[in-house]
Amino acid sequence: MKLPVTASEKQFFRSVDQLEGTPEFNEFLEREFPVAASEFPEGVSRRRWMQLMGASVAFAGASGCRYYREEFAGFVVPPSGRVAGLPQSFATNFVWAGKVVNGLVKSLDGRPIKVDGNAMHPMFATSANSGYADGKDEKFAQAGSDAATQAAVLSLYDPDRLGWLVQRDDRSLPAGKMVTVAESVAQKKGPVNWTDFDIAARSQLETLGGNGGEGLAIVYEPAPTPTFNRLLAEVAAKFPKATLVPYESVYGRNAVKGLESLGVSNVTVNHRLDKATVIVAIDADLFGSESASVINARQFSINRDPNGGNMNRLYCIESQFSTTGSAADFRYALQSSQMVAFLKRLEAAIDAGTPFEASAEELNYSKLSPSERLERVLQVIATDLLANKGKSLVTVGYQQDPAAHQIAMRINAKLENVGKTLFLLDAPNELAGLKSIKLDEFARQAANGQFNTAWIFAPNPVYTVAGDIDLPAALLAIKTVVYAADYDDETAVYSTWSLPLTHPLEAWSDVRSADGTYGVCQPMIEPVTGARSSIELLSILAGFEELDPAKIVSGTLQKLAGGSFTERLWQEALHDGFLKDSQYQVSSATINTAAEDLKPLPASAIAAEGENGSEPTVAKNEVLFSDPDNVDLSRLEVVVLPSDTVYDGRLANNGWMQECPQPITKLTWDNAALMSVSTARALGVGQSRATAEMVVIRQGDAMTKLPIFIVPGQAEGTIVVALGYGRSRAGSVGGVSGQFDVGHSIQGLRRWNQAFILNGIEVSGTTEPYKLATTQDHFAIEDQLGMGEIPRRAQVIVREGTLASYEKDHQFAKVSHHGLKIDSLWKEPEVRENHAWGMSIDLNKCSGCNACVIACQAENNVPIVGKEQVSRGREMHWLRIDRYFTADREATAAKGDSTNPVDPRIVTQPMACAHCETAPCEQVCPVAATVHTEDGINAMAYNRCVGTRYCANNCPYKVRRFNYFNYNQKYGYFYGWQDKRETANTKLQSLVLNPDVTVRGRGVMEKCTYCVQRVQNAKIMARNKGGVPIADGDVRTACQEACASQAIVFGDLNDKTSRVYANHNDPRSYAVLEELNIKPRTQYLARLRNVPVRLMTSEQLNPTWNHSHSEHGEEHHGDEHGHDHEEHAGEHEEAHS
Amino acid sequence: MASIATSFNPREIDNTVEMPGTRAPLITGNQTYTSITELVCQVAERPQPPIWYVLFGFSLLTAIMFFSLIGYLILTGVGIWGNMSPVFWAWPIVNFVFWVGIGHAGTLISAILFLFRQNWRTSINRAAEAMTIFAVICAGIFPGIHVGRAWLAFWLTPYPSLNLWMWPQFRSPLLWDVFAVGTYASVSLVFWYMGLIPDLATYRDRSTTKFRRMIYGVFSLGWTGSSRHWMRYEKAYTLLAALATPLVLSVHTVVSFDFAVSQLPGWHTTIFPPYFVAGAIFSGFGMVVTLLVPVRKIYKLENVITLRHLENMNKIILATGSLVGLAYATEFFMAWYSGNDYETFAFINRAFGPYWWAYWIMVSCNVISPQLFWFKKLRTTPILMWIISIFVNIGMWFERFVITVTSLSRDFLPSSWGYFSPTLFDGLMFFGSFGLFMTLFLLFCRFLPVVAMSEVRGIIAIQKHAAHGHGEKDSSHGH
Repeated sequence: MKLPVTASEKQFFRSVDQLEGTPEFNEFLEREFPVAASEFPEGVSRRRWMQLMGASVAFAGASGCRYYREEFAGFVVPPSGRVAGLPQSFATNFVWAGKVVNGLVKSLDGRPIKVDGNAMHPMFATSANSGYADGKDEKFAQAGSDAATQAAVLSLYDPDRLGWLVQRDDRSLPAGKMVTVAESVAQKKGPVNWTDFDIAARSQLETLGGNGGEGLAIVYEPAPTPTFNRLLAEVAAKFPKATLVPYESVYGRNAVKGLESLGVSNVTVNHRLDKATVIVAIDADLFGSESASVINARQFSINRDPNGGNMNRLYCIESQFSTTGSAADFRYALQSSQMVAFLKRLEAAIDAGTPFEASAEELNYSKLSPSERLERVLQVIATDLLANKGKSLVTVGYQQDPAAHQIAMRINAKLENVGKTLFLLDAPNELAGLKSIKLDEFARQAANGQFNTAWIFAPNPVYTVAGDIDLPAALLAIKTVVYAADYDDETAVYSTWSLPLTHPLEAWSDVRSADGTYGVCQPMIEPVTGARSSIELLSILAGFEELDPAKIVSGTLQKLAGGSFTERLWQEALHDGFLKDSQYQVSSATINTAAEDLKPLPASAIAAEGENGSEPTVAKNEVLFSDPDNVDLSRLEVVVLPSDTVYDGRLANNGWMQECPQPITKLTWDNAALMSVSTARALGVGQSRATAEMVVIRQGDAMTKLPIFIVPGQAEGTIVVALGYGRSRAGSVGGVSGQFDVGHSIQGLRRWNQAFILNGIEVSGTTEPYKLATTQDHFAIEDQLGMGEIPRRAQVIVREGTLASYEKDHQFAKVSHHGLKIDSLWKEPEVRENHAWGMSIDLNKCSGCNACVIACQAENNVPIVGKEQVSRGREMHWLRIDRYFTADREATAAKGDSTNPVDPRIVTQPMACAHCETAPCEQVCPVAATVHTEDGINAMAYNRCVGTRYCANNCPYKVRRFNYFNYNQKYGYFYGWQDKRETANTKLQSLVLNPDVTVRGRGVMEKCTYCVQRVQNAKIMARNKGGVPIADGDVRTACQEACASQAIVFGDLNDKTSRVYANHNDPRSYAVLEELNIKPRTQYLARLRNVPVRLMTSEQLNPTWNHSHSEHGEEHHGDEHGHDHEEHAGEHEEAHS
Repeated sequence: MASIATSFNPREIDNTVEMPGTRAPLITGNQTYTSITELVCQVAERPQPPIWYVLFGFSLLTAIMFFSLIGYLILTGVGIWGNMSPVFWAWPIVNFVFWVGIGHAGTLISAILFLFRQNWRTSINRAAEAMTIFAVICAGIFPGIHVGRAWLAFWLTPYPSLNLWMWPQFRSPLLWDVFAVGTYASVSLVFWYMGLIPDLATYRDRSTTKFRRMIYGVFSLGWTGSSRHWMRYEKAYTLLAALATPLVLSVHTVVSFDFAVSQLPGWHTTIFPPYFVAGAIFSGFGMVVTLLVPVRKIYKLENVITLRHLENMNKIILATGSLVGLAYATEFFMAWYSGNDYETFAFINRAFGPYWWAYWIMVSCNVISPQLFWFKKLRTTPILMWIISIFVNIGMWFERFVITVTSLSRDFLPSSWGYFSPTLFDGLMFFGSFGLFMTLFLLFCRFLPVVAMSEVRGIIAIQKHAAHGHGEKDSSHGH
């Protein structure tokens, strides 16, 4: 169909009206149509058809669509400066899995494919890389992120997302099939659409408007989102009788409550770990589940360079074994319910003010009894804190009682840390003054019929809510329940309207970071599911004239900026990802340190504040430590924490997260009751091979059965269980009841007032076996032989020393190779390479947080394989994080029980292809499918690979991954039919694929390529610029970009000024298995633990192991040491079983 | 005539009795040239015994299952097996090495024993060679279907590729394998076929149907038995024997390189070539005994394949079994003496780690069971030697399992250690390969001379000559 064009001149038009007015158009209307047009299907008149055509012409020409057009669609005429196929980066900010993300999104032709941190953001910029005096810091400006953020793009393209509006008049269970994108596509259209909803909403609001919002309840998740909060306030103003119900599944305001009890209100707390020399983390997983984990890791790591002389010290007192505990210099295991008492003791010691002096004849830490150890720990920490006034920080986990936060704040105030390492910031509260009720109260009132309408803006409360609240019954008692839903999930089936909600990458919104910096969340793509954002929905509820969310958000910025607001400021905020100088002001409030003036802690205002019951179960001035030899089962506690992978279950349908090995257990696709060796023994349960026995946990009437998992080093008598599993309507990845389950739900055991730390529970063992899928120790290593060998090898594979030993001997990491002569059998050829790409990983900075693992998965199109395949050892992660347990060998030997090590510690080591110069894989490939590039990268030619798998056998690091099935499509005929998860890799999900990286098919070997696509891009860019050399920092691998602690450095080893070259020449640098003469290009910087002398174990005080290596070479196994080995083999074991 | 031969009770004479100064007869039962021909030809000419039909039916079904599973494997992916990380090679490669090893006896018997003028080979070489060919066929299938993209397995062959302009990677032992096994298979086939020609001509001449005559006629290549034919035949046979002899040693040497050339602790050892060859001969003879004990019974060939033949083979099993045992001990010594921690651990782990059961099955079957052949009673009683030979087969399969799987399951980094468990498909396909093997062997018995008649006739001549020369008065004298 051609547009009407006059012979004389073209006329452009802006609207149908304009077009209709022209004589040409009228002429065109009256003209006879061509033959094809007159054959238009019956029932549509020519006139009607013309109207349609006119309308579509008008839409095609009209601007002012929902978003700026050029951001989303392909172009006929592209905007200048944009090259098809070249990615663009957009700054954005959003809240994801309880954490604020300051992101930089890589978008390819309108399709977001990767989320990384925004290095320009003040949160990162203030703690940039340090230690390199070459002025190239900005090249290395990198931000970092966490695993969940890296996986956010996968959720965007999740085919199980709610794909259409669902209206349920009959909410009686069973709820029937889940409504997904895939299904709505198959049905072509849903039963109801947005127009239907708009009509229904209008009539609903008219009724509500008439009575001031009587009977309206709004359940929402509190978040630092100014526009959402502003709109909520508007709604509350419009409906004064409406009820607000804030609810968060992982309650994070205990610190604020603790502060309020000290007379400080309306503030938020912001830590500056980079300013602290001594950090004491009390049950705080600083680098894991704490909301500021990414920035914590960054700030912590910049003081971990022993060469700069600025080694900080991290004490970790915790019940679970967290990533923070594995990264800590010193860790002490204590039950979560004992933390308040511990803090009281610590405060008393600090109040006393006298540092403890060590006497000369004092026993070392290994020789102490459990009670003496506790005393020693308290003494040393108090002494260290007193010595570092103003440079220290005591921080408490969000799951801890407000009382714990109260004491910690007081200690910080006494240590003069406030305003130095810990800032109290004035946070404006948009919702201040609005009356709200708790969810338990809401449930009660709703059941009594006090509400006729509820709007839910919280993710899946029916699943996450504590077991003692009957939310389904409450919702069923409400006539109209409107739920802004990500999925057709557990809550959706109790709602009359389930509205598809946008993913943060599809919506306009805004956030405040921890320091208060304001940032806009801008959409990267049109909502793929036809969803609306919560801001759009709230503005309907608020009855706004203006429904354009971009305008609404810019309105918030306008209010914030006041008179200085300009379009340019808005554009800058969008471009930079933050509004300059929008940090919160430092509060003038002072903390009242006088204990006698304290008000009692206020009663809970919001759900799930994690008070451990109103009655403390233990005398709070005496710390009850658990004796591993005599576990007191009456003092069992269950600590329920959000999962390191699926958070509170909202990421359950994200395959990358489900298959992401949990940092300590390496467990995938499951949660388990984590417990120490002694606790498992006391309960009479065990774990062997791939199966674990189940335990039954009872709390009143509620009961959950789940498998155990033994974690050496967890506090005795503490059982840790992750939230977010056992979903009944998560989707084809996260579980659908009646079809397949992923993990076990622990929600029923939580109590409204006992959300995290559950006391008074009853645990009993069963002999029922359960199969677990882990990516390391695919079966628990139960034979003495294997368990004896692991610590022996771990010592050489992950080299570790104390700061003291490093200061004594900088070469300590190389000691084990002293005297080892590596000879080649032949004269090795001179290799001339344009570049010699290499990598350096600083184990002193790595916390094992998994961000790099998922970043690699996102960048390199690494598929997921499902639980069954993981249990067969076929996970595909190119980059994995190896985790080894070590222990206090002398104390373990003294106890004589090698399967239950004393004071176990964890070392982590990211492991990917090391790109050996003399790569063993290349020698044995019969078809030359794995070869060296001219840059020294060990490359895979997928097309050439026939899949003999010989290379993988000959790889000493076992980093090669084989496609046993077509993991990117479907497994195969008859196989995998029982595993519905394969569909997660199909269709819509394939939009997440990075077009720069080949999608590998079945029968092909794959592995880390050093992100060769990025290397090649840098080379092309350099050539296009006229052959300029590639500067250090021009190529950054995906894992490097994701690493918040900047532990991974990549670059050209031929460039003698590069960081990676400097790192490789660091005295701490060593190559794993270098004795094989394979010359790996990835080297590691040895780990240092900055342990105070009085807490050093015998081995740390006197590292004899390394000395024996230095005298006799690493490969010694001669007579004189044979005895040693036998003795030590059993002493420090990695006990999993 | 035939009745004379078959009515003879072999227990009347025991040719395993050693009498100083006297050569024990290799063929018993007062045989003549004609009776030998009758004895051997009746196997193919008479209706097959019912047991043949039972075995063949079962084997054929199993073979069909095997090929169906191969089809399924190629459609689906090698993931149907239990292969995993770190045990990337498991049963398929174990089966490959197992079958290649079995394929060793045939050529050893026909080539090396021929060159050493060991006349007792003549009664068993034909069946052993046939077994070799069939074992190599089974062996060849496994690496072919084991690769991830079986339809591209031909890329391992050095052919002038027009779109790649590249050869295979000649440093890879897998490529050497292709050459070694390919050469061995082709030379063995030619050698076997050459030996068959005079006997095929006999079959042709005795054929009662036109069709049989035609087929045997074509394959006997116009053999008339003239002196000139015999002269050339003998020369060619000797030359082929000389050519095949190094292959006996080279095939399994090269197969062992698959392991020895890698750097995996437990694989990377210089002892592998001789150790593998000894093991291969050991397993090959084990399989020959397993097959021939029932064959001589079913086809009433006790006078041709005598107890002495079986005893000789058992002696070789005893010798090679002891060699294998020595190799196991040497491996442990080297693991300790080398002072290499990884190596030491690999071997201790083999014997006492999670796969201890496999290791001790291997040791019991391969080291202990052949030692029973020190007892004459055991090495001359068919049913007992048959049982022991099956243990040898089991043990040798486990040897390959132990080498392949235990070494891979725990290599350098403990983080990557794993425990391999096979799937149903691993088992079914190994079983299926036996189906193919047995199908081929049963067809061989049905259609081809299972004993080299022409060569056995030569033995009778020698035997008679020897008897005359020494004035021996045995019952075979004077036919």
